[in-house]
Amino acid sequence: MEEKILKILEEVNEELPEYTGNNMLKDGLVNSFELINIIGELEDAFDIEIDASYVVEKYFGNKDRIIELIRMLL
Amino acid sequence: MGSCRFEQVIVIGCGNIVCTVLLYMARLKEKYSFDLLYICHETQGLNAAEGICREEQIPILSLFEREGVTAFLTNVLKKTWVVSAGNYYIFPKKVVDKENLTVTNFHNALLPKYPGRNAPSWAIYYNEKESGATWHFVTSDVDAGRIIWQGKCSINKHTRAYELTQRIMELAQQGLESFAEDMLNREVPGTAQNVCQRKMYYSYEVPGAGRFSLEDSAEDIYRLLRAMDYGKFGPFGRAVTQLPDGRTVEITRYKPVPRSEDERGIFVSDAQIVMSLDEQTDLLLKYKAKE
Repeated sequence: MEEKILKILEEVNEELPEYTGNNMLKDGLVNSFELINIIGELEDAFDIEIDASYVVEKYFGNKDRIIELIRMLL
Repeated sequence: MGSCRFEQVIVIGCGNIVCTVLLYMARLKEKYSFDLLYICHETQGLNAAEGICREEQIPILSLFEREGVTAFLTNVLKKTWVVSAGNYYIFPKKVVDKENLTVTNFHNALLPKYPGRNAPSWAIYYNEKESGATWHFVTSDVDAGRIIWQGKCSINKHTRAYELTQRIMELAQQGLESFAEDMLNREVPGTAQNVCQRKMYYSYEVPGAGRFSLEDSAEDIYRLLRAMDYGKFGPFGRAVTQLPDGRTVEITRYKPVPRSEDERGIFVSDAQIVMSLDEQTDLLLKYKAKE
């Protein structure tokens, strides 16, 4: 699962898997359009629905938080 | 240091586009030495403008009420260029008529086509082959002022609203960079629009009323879904349809997929609908019961 997520992130920005900050959007690693793509790819890859309420720093701040979120939704 | 006919530049708006405008204006500020101010009137969940302002040391004025923005702009005394981008505040006549203010706005369509809200959606919905970005002067008539700059981009049969929005914003940035210094140095005349027969699009309008029938062509359904697609934060919500058994459902995801069955037609199962899009492709729709 982690590998799949990292691959999705890497396709948007190869620096994302290495990013250790807390807000990849504010730190300029992704823009909101790229975030839409990431969410769509995650939903397709894991056949899940990610509610808009999860699209916040707490769940989408960095790769570890995204992995935790997907784990929770599966 | 370059000569500049404005003492101050005020940026107003939200979203990605205002971030690029702020970054560019911060660069020009170094060269032309004007005061730069950001008015935050509306926020979006993903707005990074505040971070940019902190980094670039741009003062932020948060005015979430329309009246507050109007009162502030009405009392501006300096010769000021107001740059509006991703902005839903409508400038009243008493603001745009002020002699010391020059107000310009970015619109996400090729004006005079698609004035008003959600223009990329309407361009996709009406099957336009191209759209683009317009920078124009602001008058009291919405999106009707003289055009300063326009740039075009194509719309293909898979373009989604958020993708078109992104492309148009990239064009808007190019546009700003091509005319901003002219604007700072001299009067820019712009070109008048022909607004006689235009239709205004309002925020409450939704392409196709957000509904489709399974009897519609897959191409039309796909176009409607693409027109409504701004990811999780879209203004339209999800498209709705009625299944053959009478249940009303909303579409949670959609995508074209390679044809898996030889037979063409519409196949409805527990959580998905598959319909033929063309000779090699099906349109896959995931749905859930409408809440």
